[in-house]
Amino acid sequence: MRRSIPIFAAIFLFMASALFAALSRPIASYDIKARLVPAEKKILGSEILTWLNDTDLPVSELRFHLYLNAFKNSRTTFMRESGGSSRGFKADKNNWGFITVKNIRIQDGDDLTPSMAFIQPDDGNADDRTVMKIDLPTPLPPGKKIAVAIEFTSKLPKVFARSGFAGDFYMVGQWFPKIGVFQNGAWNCHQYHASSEFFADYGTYHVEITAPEKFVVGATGKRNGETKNADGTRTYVHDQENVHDFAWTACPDFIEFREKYALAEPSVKTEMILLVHRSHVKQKDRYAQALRNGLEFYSRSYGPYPYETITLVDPAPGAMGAGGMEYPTLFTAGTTTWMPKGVRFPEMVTIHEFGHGYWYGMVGSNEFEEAWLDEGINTYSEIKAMAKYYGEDRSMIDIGGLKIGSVAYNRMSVIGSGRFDPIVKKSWEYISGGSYSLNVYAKAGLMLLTLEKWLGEEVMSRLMRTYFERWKFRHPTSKDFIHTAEEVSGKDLGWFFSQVLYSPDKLDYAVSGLKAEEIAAGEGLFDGRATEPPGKEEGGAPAKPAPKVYRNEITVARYGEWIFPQEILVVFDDGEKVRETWDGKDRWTRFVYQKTAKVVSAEVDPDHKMVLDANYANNSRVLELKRPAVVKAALGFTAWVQGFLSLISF
Amino acid sequence: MNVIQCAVKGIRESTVRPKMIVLLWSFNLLVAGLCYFVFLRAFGGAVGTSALVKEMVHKADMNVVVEFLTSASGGAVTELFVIVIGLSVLYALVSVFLYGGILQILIQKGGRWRFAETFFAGGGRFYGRFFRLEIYSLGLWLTAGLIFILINALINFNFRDSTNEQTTFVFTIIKILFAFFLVFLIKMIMDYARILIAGRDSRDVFRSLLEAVRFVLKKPAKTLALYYLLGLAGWASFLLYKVLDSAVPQTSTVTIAIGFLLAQVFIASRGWLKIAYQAAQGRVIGLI
Ligand SMILES: [Zn+2]
Repeated sequence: MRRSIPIFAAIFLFMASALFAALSRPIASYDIKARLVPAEKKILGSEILTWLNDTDLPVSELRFHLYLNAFKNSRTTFMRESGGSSRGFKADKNNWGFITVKNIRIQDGDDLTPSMAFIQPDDGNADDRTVMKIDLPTPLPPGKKIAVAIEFTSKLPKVFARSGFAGDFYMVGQWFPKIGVFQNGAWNCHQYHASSEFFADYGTYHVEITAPEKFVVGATGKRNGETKNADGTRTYVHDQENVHDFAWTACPDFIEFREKYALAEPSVKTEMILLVHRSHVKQKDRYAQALRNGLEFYSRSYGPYPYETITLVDPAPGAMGAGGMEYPTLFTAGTTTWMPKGVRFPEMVTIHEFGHGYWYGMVGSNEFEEAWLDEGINTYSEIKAMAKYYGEDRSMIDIGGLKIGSVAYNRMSVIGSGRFDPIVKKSWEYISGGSYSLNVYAKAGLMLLTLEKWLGEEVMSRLMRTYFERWKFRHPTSKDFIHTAEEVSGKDLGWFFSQVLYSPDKLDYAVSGLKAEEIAAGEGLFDGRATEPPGKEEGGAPAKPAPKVYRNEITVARYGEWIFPQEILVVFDDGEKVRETWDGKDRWTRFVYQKTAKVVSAEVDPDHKMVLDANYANNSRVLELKRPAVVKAALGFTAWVQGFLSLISF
Repeated sequence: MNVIQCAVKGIRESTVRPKMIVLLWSFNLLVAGLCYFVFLRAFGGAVGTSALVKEMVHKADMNVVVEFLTSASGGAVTELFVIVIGLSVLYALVSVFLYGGILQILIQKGGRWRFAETFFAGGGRFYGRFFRLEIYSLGLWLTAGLIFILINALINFNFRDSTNEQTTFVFTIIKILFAFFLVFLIKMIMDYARILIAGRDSRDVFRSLLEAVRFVLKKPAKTLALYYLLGLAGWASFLLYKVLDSAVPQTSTVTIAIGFLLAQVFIASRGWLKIAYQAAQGRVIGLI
C-alpha cells in the first residue's frame, strides 16, 4: 500500500501546519536568559519581549505582571487575602519572594525605567506591587510591534503556593516580568490574588536556562540545545510556539524518564518526560500510566495533543505546595513516599494537570475572571477520564470495602456547603477560598455532567470538540461557551445556564409523598339508597368479592430554587411502570391513579440526569420502609460504638 | 511466678467468672444500645423511605452515606456525634464503679458470698477512691503529654530540613507508636494503683498511685511483658471476630442478627480480657 503513504504524509503535514497556523498569532513572545543562583535562591534574568498591538486602538502604556512580588511581605494582596497559606501550606516568614526590575527600555531605544510605577487596579492596596505600568514615549499604533528589553532579578520564596524552592528543589513559575492582555480597549492585568490564577496572550518562547551542573532541569517546550560552561554550569535552550507562559524546574534529585508516546487515532506523537524525585521513584509507573491515559483521553475526546513534549514534574518532599499546578507543556503532580494503590491521588492530579494543557493551555480563558472555564471544564473532563480508566464508583478511592468515585467525591463538597456564590464571579470576590474552589471546580464540573446527561453524550461530545476547536489559542468567555452549546445542541439553553452559572441557589426535587389507600364503599347516607356493606348484593345472595381498588397518590415537590423539567417514574405492584413529566415550575404537583394495583415506589429523575441535585435520597420513595437495610446500618453503628466504648474504658 | 504463669492464671480467673463477664457486656450493650435508637431515627429519617436504601443490605452505597452525612446540613450527624461523646463520658464514670466490683470479687477469699451483693458492694466501696485516683492521674497524663511534646520537638528539630520522606515517614510511625506506648503505660499504672487500693483496702489514694509508679519502674520488663502479652489475646479475639464476621454474608434478617450476635460475643470477650488483666496484674503484685 505504498501509494497511500505520500497522500497520508501530505495530509499529515497539512494538518500539522493547520493545527497551529491560522489560529494562533503570536502576540507576546519572549526571548529570556535565566541563571539560577542556588545560594541566594535567585534567578538573574534578562528578557526581550516582542509585543504586537493586535487591537484597533493605539496603546500608550504597557502593563506587566510581577507575580513574585505577591510573596514580598505580609501586606501584599495575596498575603492579606490568603493569610499566608495556600491549600494548607504555610508561607515561611524567613524566605520571602520578590522580583526586581533593574531596567526596562525599548530595544535599541529609549530607557523606560523612569516611568516605571506600581498600580493596583483591583483593590488599591498600595503595598501590592504585582502590577507594573510603563509609559511609552509615543503610542504604539494598531498592528505594530514593539520590542522591550528588561533586566530583572527574581528571588524565590520557600515554596507554599506554586512557585519557590524547598531544599535543592526549585519550581520556577510566574517568575519573569510578564505583559498583561490588552483587550476591548483596556489592559486586563490583574493583581496576584489568593484565589486566582492567570491570564496571558499566546506567543513564542525562546528561553536559555543556566544552572549548576548537578541539577536536572526541565522546562516548558522542546530542548533544542545543551552546553557545558566553564564555570561548572550548564545552559539548556528551550523553544515553544503557541503557549502563553513558561515555567521550569531544577533539582539534583530528579530522575529523568523519557518515553515516546504515539496514538494512531487521532494521530498524536509526543515525548513524555517524567522528572520524578528520587524518594518517589517507585511511583514512576503510576505517573506514567496516568499520563498515557490522559494523553489518550483528551486527544480522543477533544482533539489531538499538538505539542512535541509533555513534562511531568514530581515535587520534592516538603515542596507539595508546588504540586498540582499546570503550565504550558509542563505540569507538577504530587505524591508521598507511601501512597496506597487504592488512593488514586497521583493519578487524579496527573490527569487533571495534564488536562489543563487543553483547558488553560490551549483554550486560554481568563482564569482571573471566569475560573470555571478552565477548572470546571477540566474537572468535568477529569471525572470522565478517571471513571473511564479506574471505574466510575471507585475512581478516587478503592481500599478494601471503601470505594469512592469522583462524582460522589465532588458531590460531597457541593451539597454539604453553603450557597453564597454562583459559578461565574471574579476569583477574588468569592466569600472564601473554599467557596471559590467548590464553585469553579466541583459545582462547575457537576454542572457540565448534568448538561451532558441532559443533552446526551453524543451532543455533549460534539459540543466540547467544537468549543475546543473554535477557541483554541484564543480567549473565550462564558458567553462563548453558552453560544457554542446552544449552536451545537440546537436548543435554547439560556434557562439552564442563567440558573447554574449565575445564581448560587440549589437544585432539589423530591418525591415528598406517596400513598395508596383502599377505596372502601362509601359510608353514610347517599341520595336514593342506603349504603350497604361492601360485597353484598341485593337479595342477600353472597356475591363474589369485588377486586380492591386503590387511590394512589404521588406528590412531587421542588425544594430548591432552580427550575428543571422533571420526569417521574411510578411503579405499581402489578409490575406496571408509568412515566410522567412535569415542567417543575410550581413548588409541588400531584399524580393520582385509581386502580386495582398499589403503588410500590416513585422516583423523580429516574435516569439520574441531575447530578447537581442536592439530595439524592429524597428523589425516590418506597411505600414500605426498607427495614432490614436501616436496621443493619443501625446495628452496625451500635456495634461500632460498643467497640469504641470498650476501647476507652472496658 | 513468671509472666506466662501470671497471664494464664489471670485468664483462668476470668474464665471461671461468666457472671461478671455477662455483667460487663450487658452494661456495654445498655449504653451503646441508646445509640441504636438515635441512629435508627436519624438514618431512617434522612434516607429510610428512599429507594436508594434498597440495595444497602447487599453493599455499602457511598451515595447513601453522602446523603446521610449531609442531610439537614449534617445536623443529624452532629447530634449523633454529641450523643456518642456524652455516652462515652457516662460510660467512663460508670466504669470507675465497675472496677471496684471486679476487684472486690477477685480479692474475695473463701466463705459464702453472693455475686451481685459482693460486686455492687465493692463498686460502691471503692468508687470515691477510684474516682480520686482518676483525678490524680491527670498528673500522669500531663507528664506523658510533656514527654511526648519534648520528643516530638526533638525529632522535628533534627529533621527540620529533611527532604527524605522515608525518614519522615518512619519517624511519624515511631511517634504514633510512642504515643500509644505512653497511653498504655498510664493505663497499666492505673490498674496497679487500683489493685493496691483494693487489695490493701488502703485509703491513701495518692500514695497508692506513687507506689504503683514505683512498682512499674522497678519491674518494667515483667509488667510491660504481661500487659502486652494479654494485649495479644485481645488482638487474637479481634481478628477471630473479623474473620467470622466477614464469613457471614449479612443480607437477610437472620444473617444480620447473626452478625450482631458475633459482635456481642466479641464485646463480651473484651470484658473477659479486662478481668483477666486485673487478675493477672494482681498476681504480679502479689495481692490477688
Ligand atoms: Zn485545575
